Amino acid sequence: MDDIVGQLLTQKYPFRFIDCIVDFEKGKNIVCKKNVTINEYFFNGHFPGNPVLPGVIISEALAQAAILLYKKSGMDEKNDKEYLLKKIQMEYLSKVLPGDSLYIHVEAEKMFSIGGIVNVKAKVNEKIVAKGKIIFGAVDKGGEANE
Amino acid sequence: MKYDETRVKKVIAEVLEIESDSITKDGDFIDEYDADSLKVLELLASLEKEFDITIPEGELKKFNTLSNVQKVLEAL
Repeated sequence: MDDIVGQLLTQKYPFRFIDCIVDFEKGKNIVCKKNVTINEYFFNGHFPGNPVLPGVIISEALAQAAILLYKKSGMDEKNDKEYLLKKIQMEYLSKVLPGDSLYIHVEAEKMFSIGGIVNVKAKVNEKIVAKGKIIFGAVDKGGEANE
Repeated sequence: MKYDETRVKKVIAEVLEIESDSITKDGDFIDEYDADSLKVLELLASLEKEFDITIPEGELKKFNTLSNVQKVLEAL
């Protein structure tokens, strides 16, 4: 089975937080999945005896799904861009625990050659556990997001 | 003028996080209001939402002053 996520994302273990793509509509939206497992390194410290998926990891998963939407929509055909976070507004609604399957929904508000604006939601069992908005830059490798 | 200047300035002020009164016709968003290219992208998206319009990516480079933004909007 081709690991399309591994081919498209520059993030690798231990900082890859998307397992697979579940659904995709070019230029519009993507749904990705991350299986949350007790073996992940951050659960040792977050928290000892009470593992809870850190909110920042959920945010990173959402950002990685945004990159996948952007790239699969043909916005980086030469695969020569770096992706940098510009702004993130998030609300965390429920805990995510080991054993959960996290479904990551990203909807494009705007995708231009310099970057994008997306609306994001993370769900477990159809319940929204986090939602927000992400603005990211897509710059030539070695560039700055704020040029 | 199809697009009320007060509403346009309000959107610019919210996105650039400055006072609406401080926005002048020819004040450059990047040089004078500390914006960058992604802030300008955010501004374009916010104006689209405010006025329920679509602004082509090619117009982004013209989004550098209130006056030029108004010209882009009026030409749509």
